[in-house]
Amino acid sequence: MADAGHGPMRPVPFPVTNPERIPTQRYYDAEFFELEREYLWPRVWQMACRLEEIPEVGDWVEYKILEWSIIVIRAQSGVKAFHNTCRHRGVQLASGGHGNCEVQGFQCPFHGWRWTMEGKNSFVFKPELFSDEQLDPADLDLIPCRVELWGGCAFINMDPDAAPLMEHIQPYADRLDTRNIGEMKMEWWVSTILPTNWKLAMEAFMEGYHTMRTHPQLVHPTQRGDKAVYGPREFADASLRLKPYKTSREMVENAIHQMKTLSIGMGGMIHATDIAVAEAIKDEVELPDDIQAAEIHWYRTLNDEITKRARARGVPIPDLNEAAAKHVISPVQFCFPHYFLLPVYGNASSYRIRPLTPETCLFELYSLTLMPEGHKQPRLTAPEPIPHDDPRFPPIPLQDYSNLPLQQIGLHGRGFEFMRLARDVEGLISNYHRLIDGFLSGVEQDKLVAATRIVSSPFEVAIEDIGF
Amino acid sequence: MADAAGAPLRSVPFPVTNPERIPVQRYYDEDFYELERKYLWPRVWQMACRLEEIPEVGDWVEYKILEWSVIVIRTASGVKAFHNTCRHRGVQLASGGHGNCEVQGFQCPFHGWRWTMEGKNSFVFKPELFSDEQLDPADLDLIPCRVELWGGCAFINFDDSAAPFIECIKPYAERLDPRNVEKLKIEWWVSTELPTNWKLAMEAFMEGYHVMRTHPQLLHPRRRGDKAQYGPEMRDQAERLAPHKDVREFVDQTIHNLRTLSVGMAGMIHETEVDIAETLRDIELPEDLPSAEVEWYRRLNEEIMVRGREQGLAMPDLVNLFFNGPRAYPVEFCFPHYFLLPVFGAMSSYRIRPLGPEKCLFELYSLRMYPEGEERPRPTKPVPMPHDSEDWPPIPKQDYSNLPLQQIGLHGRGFEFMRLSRDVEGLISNYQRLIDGFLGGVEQDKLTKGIQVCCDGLDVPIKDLGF
Repeated sequence: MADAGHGPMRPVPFPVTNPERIPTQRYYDAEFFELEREYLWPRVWQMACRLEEIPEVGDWVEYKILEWSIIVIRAQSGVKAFHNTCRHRGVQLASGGHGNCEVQGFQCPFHGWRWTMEGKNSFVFKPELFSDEQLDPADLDLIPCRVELWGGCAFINMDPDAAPLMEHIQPYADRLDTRNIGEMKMEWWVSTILPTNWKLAMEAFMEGYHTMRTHPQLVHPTQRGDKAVYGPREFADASLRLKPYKTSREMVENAIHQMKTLSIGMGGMIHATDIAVAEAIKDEVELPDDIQAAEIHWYRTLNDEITKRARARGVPIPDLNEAAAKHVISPVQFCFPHYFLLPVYGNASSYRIRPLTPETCLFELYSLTLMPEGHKQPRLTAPEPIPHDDPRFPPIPLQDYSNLPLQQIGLHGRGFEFMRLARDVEGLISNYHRLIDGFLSGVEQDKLVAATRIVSSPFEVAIEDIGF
Repeated sequence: MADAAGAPLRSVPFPVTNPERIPVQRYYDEDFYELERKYLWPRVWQMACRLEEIPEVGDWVEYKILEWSVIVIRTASGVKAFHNTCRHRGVQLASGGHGNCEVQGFQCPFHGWRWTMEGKNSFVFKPELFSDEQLDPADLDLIPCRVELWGGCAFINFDDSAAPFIECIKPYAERLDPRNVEKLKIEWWVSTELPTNWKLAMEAFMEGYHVMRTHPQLLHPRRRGDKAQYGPEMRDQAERLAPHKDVREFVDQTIHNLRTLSVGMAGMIHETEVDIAETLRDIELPEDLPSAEVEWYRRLNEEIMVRGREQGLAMPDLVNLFFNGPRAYPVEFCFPHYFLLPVFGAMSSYRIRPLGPEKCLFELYSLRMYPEGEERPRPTKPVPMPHDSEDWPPIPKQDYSNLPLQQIGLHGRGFEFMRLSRDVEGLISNYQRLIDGFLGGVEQDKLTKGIQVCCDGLDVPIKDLGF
């Protein structure tokens, strides 16, 4: 393999050569994981923390990715990030995951050297013991890490030469900004350690093709056709036959049922207040008999009512109909490599999935919502992971977690050489993998940036040309 | 190291260079374990299930070895095996360990694709979303795994170029087939996870040299000499077994030993077989002791055979076997991880799978014959019990008490190798050298011959494997 203009590239083991087929070793091979460690993670923008984690000046949190630890601090001069390493003999400065350093700064637990919250060195014990060169002030401050803010989060990048965050995530960011995503706050935050590769976990959310089998409750009974397509073999019909609504009323009843199922299923995403609005207007709203027209009218009315009632409570919600006119928003929105959002009305569910080893990942789930201006939230801190089959997880994540470990094991099946993707709806999986191959093989920076813009996309997209 | 034909072999860490000395790292080293994962397990025939686990058409069980999962199914067209992997995105199709797929087939829990019990793809959800090439029918059926039946079990092998199973187990099968092993059924089945390497657990059964110390009850008190040779005060190095004084004493001691073994294993010699021995306690026997011994054993074999056949059991011709053979060893090893302990009509049976370099899944089956046509409940995989549970029969319990101590002891600094008895601990060496053959890349037909040598019995000497 050779780059167009820049000589030979690095060979990638188990590369994606057919975009519709993903070699399975990419999900467990130790060498592949090692190449991701070397050539992917140190060079991408990563959601490092939500800004509600560091509400006050001096608040800091630690972001860990593989063997690297970074401190993100709300400093007097804005949010900053530093590598969590003492400049004397390398001990981690900040431990415990979070804290406030406004007064104390950071002190190394080994020899007591100190830094301010701005990362300036403020104390060296017995400096007379060191050669001058060793204590060059320019070389004693904490090592900064690139950090940029978007969407209520701090993103870090360990590559000093990386293009700015916004160059990577447009038009993704614009689409989500119409939803005031930056104003959302965490309601709750849970995590688990899954026995799967990080990519496998990400990919479980990249298509809706699995909904019918994995989350059957999301399809309303009256919508499933009279014989379940997934029923016993004798019922198996090669196409999914959704039954048409019989009346406009039935359409509304189905819509509200689905809102409730999603709300319960995600423990958020759609809120009780949204459902209450729908329930309150369902009998008043006048619906045309034509079902398509009725559907459009219903959602317009619901959006207006949710907007109006939320604003009355002081919630900074955008005009949902205006927002929808700007961007028809897809239910799942991926921010390459490891973060994604599921925005609905004034809320969103949000996921972050970090590699721990070739076959384990840290899986975090946040429930976000727009809260009334001035609403004081307690500072949330990173949750202790709970078992992936813990009944405290909402039903939909539990269903996803029940498949994922089986998939990781199944991938090892001898003779199972590649995943076969649906070109039309599982394309994001392929797009992601080919972008990763771009990082691993050494495709030039600007092409990677352009491809990241393509790959930071909604779910269920087709296989696309990412430019290399 | 070079192959005879000149091709360079892979280098094996901690190889057996002196057949009487086994380097200890082979029992815990991660690299060694990784090489076994890569070059041994995917290339050997492995007892995957007993056929009573899948009595009816559509019955399936999962066999797991390391990271691999295989489904063994009794289909309408015979027993088949498939890799337990959906051909779309790789999710395990069958979970829960066992089931019946005759009507439902298998359905992937992720996107709902389906397969029949014969492994044919029968449903792809929304096929119009896929390129034609992705749905080539020839490429959508479950991936088959080799399976062959012998001795009441299904054996699988991931290696398509391996010699047929039955070729690998000559002359093992010749010793066991006349004992009607394929007619045996599970009476009970238990398991435990032992904190030892899988080979260490196997090797605990490869010699009888440990019986005197580990299972002292198996020697009748009067047979141990007047002073126990393992007692603290004993300085006598020779095992001094007291000779039987007379024919009656011989019979009493033999029945006592049969009972102790039967209780000790909760089977192997089935209690009904011991009861038959009891009925022969007072039979008339020649006065001359050697003749009396032969006659008494002849009667015992005859009674067990005749009474068993009266009940409809497919008893082998035990009298003929007693006089003319082929003689089976008290423990019969089927390389790599299965063995049988045949005595009369019943047997004990073991299977030991690796779970980690220092951990194994240890299963113990008690097998016996049942009247032809008698309905038996379908046995399913037991939940492992602690290895020190009071529920284990006494003999396995004694073995389990040593094994974890041995695994720890192997790490002793300066303890570089196990020193084997050339004459009775030879099978340990034979096994280990055959494993080196797999790891080192010895050619296939030599390995097959090596397997034939290693499918061997208790207490055998070190043997030439042919490489």
